[in-house]
Amino acid sequence: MEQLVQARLQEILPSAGFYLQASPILLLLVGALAALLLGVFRADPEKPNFTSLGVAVVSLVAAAAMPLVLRGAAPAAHLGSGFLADGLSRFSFVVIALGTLFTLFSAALTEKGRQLLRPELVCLLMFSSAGLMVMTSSGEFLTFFTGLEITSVSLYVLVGYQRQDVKALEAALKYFLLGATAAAIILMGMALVYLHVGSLRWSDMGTLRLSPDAPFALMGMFLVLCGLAFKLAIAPFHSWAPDVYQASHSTLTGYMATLVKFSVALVVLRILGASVAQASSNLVLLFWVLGALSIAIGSTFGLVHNSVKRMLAYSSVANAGYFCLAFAALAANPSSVSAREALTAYAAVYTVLNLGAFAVLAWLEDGNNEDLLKEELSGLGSKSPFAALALTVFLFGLAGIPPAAGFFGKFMLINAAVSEGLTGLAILMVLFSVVSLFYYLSLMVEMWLKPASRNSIAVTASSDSGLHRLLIGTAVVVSLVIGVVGPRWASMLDYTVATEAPSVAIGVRSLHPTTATASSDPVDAVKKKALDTAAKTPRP
Amino acid sequence: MLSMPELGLYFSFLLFLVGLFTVMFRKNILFMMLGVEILLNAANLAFVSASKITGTIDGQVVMFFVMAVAACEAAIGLAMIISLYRAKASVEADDLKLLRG
Repeated sequence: MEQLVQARLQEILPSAGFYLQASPILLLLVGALAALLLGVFRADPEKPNFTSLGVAVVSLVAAAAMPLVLRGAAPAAHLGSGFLADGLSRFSFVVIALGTLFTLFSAALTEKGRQLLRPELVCLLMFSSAGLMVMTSSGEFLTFFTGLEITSVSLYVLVGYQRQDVKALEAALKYFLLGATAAAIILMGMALVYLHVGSLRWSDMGTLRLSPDAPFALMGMFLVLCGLAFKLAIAPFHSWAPDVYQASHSTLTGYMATLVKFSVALVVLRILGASVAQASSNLVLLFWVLGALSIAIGSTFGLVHNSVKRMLAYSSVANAGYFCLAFAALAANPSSVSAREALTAYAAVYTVLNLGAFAVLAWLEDGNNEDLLKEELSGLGSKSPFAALALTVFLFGLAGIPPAAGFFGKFMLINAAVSEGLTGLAILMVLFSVVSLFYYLSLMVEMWLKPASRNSIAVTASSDSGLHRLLIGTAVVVSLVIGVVGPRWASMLDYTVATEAPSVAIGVRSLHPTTATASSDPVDAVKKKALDTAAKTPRP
Repeated sequence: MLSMPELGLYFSFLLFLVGLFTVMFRKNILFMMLGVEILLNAANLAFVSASKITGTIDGQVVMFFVMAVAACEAAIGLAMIISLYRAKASVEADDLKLLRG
């Protein structure tokens, strides 16, 4: 018995390799705490604090660099399955760290953003990013849930960060109530899956057959995926998104709309790819329905709105629907490489495009209204051509017009879906892409073709600095480069998922050998044998 | 006759439904938050029952994590409700109507 526990402890306790591989998460946490501590010594609590911003930038750059340094390391599981160090998690670390960096810079370079930039905001943003990283690198339900909650709780606060603004408070409360309910639904789903499998690890769920014969497992998986669909703002769980996106500051909206969706999409990829190793027609149906609804609602409802941020919110609902193509393809064929490539490629491209678009909006909002209306953009092309051009590139990308980045992403998604026989959903996506083009184009018509009116706005001189142009320009260049080259890098990623050495979790029965004699219990005998062999094989 | 853990499992389903209805149909935000707490505790009960039924210990570990998470969420939620009450002198969900497309 002692031996069993010791062997298991060896697998669960952190090793030196863990600290190295998890260094991006640890760097972010240390940076966040340092930023918060520096806030204690400030003279005026309402003033932005650039020392804490500096600390945050340094730790984020280091967090983005570490995975690139370690990119050669073989996939390995640490802390049981709690932390998987593989290609997918390293890729997500880089994207999350760079995205957070972009958000912080975008806030620091705008007048309204600077007012937000108190140490608490920096700290919360970094905690949230650390939570996202915990989520994308987890290999079992418990760590995933912890990461999800670290992110969610930070985001609830971030949305309601401007306490004087009743709108923001209202959005924060809506987000909180719905988000907490979604978290509880995910948790209940986890409990049901755990009841069926007897383990929380996704790698143990290869035998999970999702059919009505196993009602608990099927229901559990449905609940987990519906809860995640809420976090992705997939219709019919999208009602919070327009409100929350509209009421929070544009830089924070950009963060929420991109990095959170990116990370949750990767988690769904891990769950579908690793755990439900059996193709499941029930899950295909679920994603078919969610995807079709989301694409249809996102593409049509955006047409009727006048607020630019609400429009982009519906665009993000439609984009989350496009993710469903890859999810459905994965559910139909869990080993599909093309679905994996399409999902990572599209999620990353979407992140770049939306981060850029919301950064331009934050730039335009400076000195103007918080919530821009469509007609306020009229004549922007002649007043501030750089901002108009940048926004055009991002909108073309989201619409999927070939030279910009979105086209290849959509192409890969359709390719993956069609090769798994999901032609109907692919056709639906193409049709509604055309519909959504109307609202992307209507913005461009306002910017380039309409003359400036009394209401129209322009970039104010105070925020029109060379640095700001450089920041937005970087996003434009990145999205164009991806667009021209195509997301070939997606096929260069290593999709091998790290798995734990085969062993069985220590059961209640094996911890209390007096209640069940270990020798006569066949289950325990099998477990003991598995553990013994696991202990003999050297750990990677 | 149902065994004790099975009884706990079915009771947790009942609690889950109660929580879900509270969140969906109550108009007072404080009660909606109570509904969320009931939901989380229903999941806790389900985890502990499942732990007993499957004979593994993971579910009981999850329960402790969830209790911590529930405490965090309650703290954040109450803070928000207090700020809202200061701004509007009301905690009714129907008064939240500034954001309509």
